[in-house]
Amino acid sequence: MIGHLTRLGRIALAVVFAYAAWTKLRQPWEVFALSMDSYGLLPEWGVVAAARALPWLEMALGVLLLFGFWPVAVSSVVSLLLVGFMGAMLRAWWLDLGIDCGCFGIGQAVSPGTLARDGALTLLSLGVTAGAVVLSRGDSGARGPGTARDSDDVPPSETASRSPGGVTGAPRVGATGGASDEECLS
Amino acid sequence: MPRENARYSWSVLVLAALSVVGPPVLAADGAHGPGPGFAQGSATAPVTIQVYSSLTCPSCAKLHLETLRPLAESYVAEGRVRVVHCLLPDQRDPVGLHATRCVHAARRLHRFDEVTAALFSAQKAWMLSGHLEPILAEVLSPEEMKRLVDLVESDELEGEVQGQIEAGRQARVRATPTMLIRHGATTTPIVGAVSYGILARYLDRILEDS
Repeated sequence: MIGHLTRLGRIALAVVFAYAAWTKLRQPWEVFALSMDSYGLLPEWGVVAAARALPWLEMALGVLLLFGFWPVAVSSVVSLLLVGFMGAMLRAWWLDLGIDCGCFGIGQAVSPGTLARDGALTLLSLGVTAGAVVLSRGDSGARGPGTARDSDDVPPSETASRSPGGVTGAPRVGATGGASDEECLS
Repeated sequence: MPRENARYSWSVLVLAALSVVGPPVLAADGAHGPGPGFAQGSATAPVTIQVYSSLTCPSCAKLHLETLRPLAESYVAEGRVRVVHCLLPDQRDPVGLHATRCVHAARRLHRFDEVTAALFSAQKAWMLSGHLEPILAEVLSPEEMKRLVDLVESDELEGEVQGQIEAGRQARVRATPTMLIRHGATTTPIVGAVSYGILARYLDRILEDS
């Protein structure tokens, strides 16, 4: 159950991040820089660096989430980013700056609606991170100490095929971990 | 391993597909017409920035003093950018409305820049005291002050004031300051105060494109 919910949340976040990146990358980076600058949080060099890098980071995170690479690490980074975005938006709303949020290109004001949307995304991301951690720990614990690679990095089929008698032999402790991993990764 | 390879290949494919995007597409909205306003710069400039601001809004003061003034000395003076100012006062605020009328009157006296800059610079002071005259007297001669007061007290300016408010309504301005940066058929709305350096980078980009 946790695995299915985590996978659904991960895919939803992946779509949102990829779309957010695409809306920024389809326009000159300076437009996003203007949106970021209106928050008044970063110096000019910081705005330039962030406006150039952030859309590509969002795209990379979206793709990594979609395909389930390093779920714990990636969802943690996504959660940190979303918490940061929420903080910036809450500050802008509190100060009544009336600015665009810049989340999906231009034209969306920081408002209770956008705050609720980003708040929901942040909660979802935190949930996905928690789910990924639980699945990862369950898997590691089930396999026991001495595992050569982290469970996030090893597809279950590979784990099974490497195990002596893993497919046709008697059920091993690792098989349970494999099932959790499957839910988390696929 | 084949499964890892397949995931890697799909990731690369998706990244490549998403990276191949079309040319920049910005908001192009027919509602963002030129409208009335105080224009600075050449009418043939390739880029026009329509600025909607309020004399009582702190972000507007920041934008005007730290971004639009340097812009007037560079891009506007060089004929590359035209700036059109529209004032959108809160009609429930008598002090703000009075200040707006003073700026409209100052325009008639060809002292728009000086009066606007003085009012934005001393924004907190006159908003608290409600007295504009000491601030205006610093940039206007006694004769100009008298003509300004006469204009403000007459009904001559009301049409201009309401015309700009209506222009803001038609442009669907939801917050001040808002800049509508137009070049060709494209309009990019920017809400909030932005720094001169970042705005200059964007202007360089669109001037290069045009």
